[in-house]
Amino acid sequence: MKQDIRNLFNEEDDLKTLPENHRTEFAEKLSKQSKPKRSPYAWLSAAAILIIALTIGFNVMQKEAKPEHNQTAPIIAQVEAVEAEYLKNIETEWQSFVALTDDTVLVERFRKKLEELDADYKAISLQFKADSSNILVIEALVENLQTRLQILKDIQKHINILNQNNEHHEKSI
Amino acid sequence: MKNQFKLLFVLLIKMQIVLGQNVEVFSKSFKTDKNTSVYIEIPDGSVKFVSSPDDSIHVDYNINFIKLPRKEHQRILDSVRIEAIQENNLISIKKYANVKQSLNTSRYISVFSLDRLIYETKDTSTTTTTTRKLKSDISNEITEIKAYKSYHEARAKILYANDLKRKERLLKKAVKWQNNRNFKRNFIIKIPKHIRLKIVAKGSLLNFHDEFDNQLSIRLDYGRLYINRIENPKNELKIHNSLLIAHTISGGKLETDRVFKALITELKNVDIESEFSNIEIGELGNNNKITDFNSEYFFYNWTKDFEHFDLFSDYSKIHFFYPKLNYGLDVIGYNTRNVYVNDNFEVTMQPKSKERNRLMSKALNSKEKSSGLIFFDIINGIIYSYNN
Repeated sequence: MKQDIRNLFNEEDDLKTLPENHRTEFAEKLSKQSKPKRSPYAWLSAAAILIIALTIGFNVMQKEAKPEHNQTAPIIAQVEAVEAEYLKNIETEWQSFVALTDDTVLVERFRKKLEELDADYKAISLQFKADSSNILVIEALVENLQTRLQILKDIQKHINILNQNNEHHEKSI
Repeated sequence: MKNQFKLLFVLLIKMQIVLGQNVEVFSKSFKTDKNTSVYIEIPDGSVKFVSSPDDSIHVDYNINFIKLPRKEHQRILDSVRIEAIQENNLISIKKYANVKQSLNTSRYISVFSLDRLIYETKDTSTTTTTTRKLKSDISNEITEIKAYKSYHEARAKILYANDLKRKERLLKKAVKWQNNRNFKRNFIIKIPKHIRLKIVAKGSLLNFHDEFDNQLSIRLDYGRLYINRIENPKNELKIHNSLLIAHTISGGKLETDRVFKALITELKNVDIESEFSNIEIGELGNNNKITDFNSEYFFYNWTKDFEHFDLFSDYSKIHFFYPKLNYGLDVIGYNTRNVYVNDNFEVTMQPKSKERNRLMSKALNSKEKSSGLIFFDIINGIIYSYNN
């Protein structure tokens, strides 16, 4: 197995001989590879970054310029949503109450009370329009709606208790 | 680094200076006599009424800044406007509404959304666990309620006493509101004896800290009224949509509408007209009269000489604890349910009738000294009777 390593190099030289135009071929290949690959969507990324930056900048400027407006708009929307939800439920309870009793005096008295509460609500709403971030005004609005709903629920419960097991009875204690 | 430490040190010193600063905003006194009348208008905030050490009425308003930078002080101070003038024998004290009492709205949005759930399952039933309260129990409860720091806290703890989850939610809200306050307003009016007072208040706490026999005319909406003791046959209190707690009310008229809680330790010689209210009375003294529509009343105890008590009611709930005295009882009316709480028995009396009939009666024991006569005229009512 022993052999002279110099012979191995000689054999290699015999196998591979360079072509005559290898220099020009290499230069051509090199010139083709050196051209950078350009993504067709690169300009989109740049545009997106620009738009995001502009949006953030604009929002920050707007927030600084009109902080009240940005904060109170969701409150107004929430109050309106709560109001609509309560009023729907109040109407349902009212219909249920009217169907439950034949006491017209009672119905009239409740109608009057609800009208009073509604007048209160309108007065508080004017304050809310003037200052929609006032917590006390918002609380007063919600309390007013709660009261209306609660008195209708309570009177129905009361009538149901009276109507249980109706029997005539007098008792001396 | 040394400079940074120096800067921090200076900042700390400055912080110490601005903490706990008390600033007098308004102070004025007027001489009075027995013909003097005072008109007081309070649109918000709280007022403490105390006895005057002399014949003058003293009006004092100060603000205690707890941890507010000095540059913020002026904004708060500018929001306070009080006028006090005297024309002949009429003194007018007018406090104008604070310019703004806003909470940081972005923080409030999440808090506010909780309210949407409130109406769904609220149960205001108080009938299941009612027991007789002694005068001392009522006094203790009054002390507890007076410790509540805000209208919201009082409302949450009282209205949602049986609903712990909801109470906790509302209390969180109340605490957030309180935590937002970094200054305390103190409005104190010192009242001399014998002058007449007319007070119109809204969204306020009126605290009658001392005992007063002045003639009072009070109109309060959406607020709290704390009374130690008031006594005058000409008193007129009109309390709407509010909380009322009082150790003693003696004499005069009391009108309540949607008072979510009235807690009165002693009541005597008072004519009450009420509706949509919840009223607990620790001890009924002599000659009280109540005319009610759709309220809930608790009559716990009676004095030995209550003499006479009249109740006229429609669609009311009456929690009646039998007096441990020699008394007469006469109940007339119709369509009224009597619930004998301790005997677990209930019955509707005269359900079909539209005319008043005798529903219940108890004669006096003629051999013993009479404490008085109780008269109920009840239609469409519920009487919860307790014999414990």
